[in-house]
Amino acid sequence: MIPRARIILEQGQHGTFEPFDRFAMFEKSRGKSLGELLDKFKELRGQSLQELEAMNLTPELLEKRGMHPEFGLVTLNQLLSTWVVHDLGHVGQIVRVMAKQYDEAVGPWKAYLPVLTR
Amino acid sequence: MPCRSCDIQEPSGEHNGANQYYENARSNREFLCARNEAIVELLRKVEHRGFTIERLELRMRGGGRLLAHNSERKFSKIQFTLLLCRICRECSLGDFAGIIAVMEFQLDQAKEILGRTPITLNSLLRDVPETWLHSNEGPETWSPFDVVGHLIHAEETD
Repeated sequence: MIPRARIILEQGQHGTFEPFDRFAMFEKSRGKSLGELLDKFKELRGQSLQELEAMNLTPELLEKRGMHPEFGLVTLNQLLSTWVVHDLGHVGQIVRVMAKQYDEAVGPWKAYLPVLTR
Repeated sequence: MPCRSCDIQEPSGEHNGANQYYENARSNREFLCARNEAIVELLRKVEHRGFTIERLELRMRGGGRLLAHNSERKFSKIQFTLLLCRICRECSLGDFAGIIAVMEFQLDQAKEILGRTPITLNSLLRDVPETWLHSNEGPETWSPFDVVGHLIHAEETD
């Protein structure tokens, strides 16, 4: 979200966000081990948080708005909140996908395991 | 001290600090019930930590939030929840039972989660057998491996 945060801070409503490629990782992750990906993610996230810190965001800046191609005006606050929920959503997704590996193994208990039917 | 009706006896107007809230509560001859006292105490604690209260918003029931800033103009939104005893919650009157407040910078709270995600994923996924990593939920869905890749791509470009 740092690139988009920068667009809001530097260009405001005149900037436009680059469209996000939701399938780029299939190519980019090819041939890498999960360990490598985890290391990379940790490194990148560390950098992002440093950059976020360096932005010295005040409440006024957090209310700054940018133009989203689909939603129209969005605030920096909304963008940063979305970043958090995006993380949590994907953590939940990973947990759900893992749970579903035992979809059949749990037998009749499936009825009490809503994560399997979500 | 329980108070059944203070939900509709909020000191009215703007409240800029603990003392003013307290004074308003008294001058409006509103019952300074345990609930209002707890709110005043919370406001005092916030002020004691070097914050100036900008705004106090009370919801009719349940709690409210404060907007405060410190000397560096760093803002903090403080959510507080009034604890109501269960019996009264059922009859929706709500006897006051206590107060809990969450006081953090909203941005710092966000960073707390953002900083944790790599650690969470590391604990969950590192060195687990491959079969856990590469199954998905069917066509057009992602495996845990794909999701980590997506997070990397989002970090770089989004």
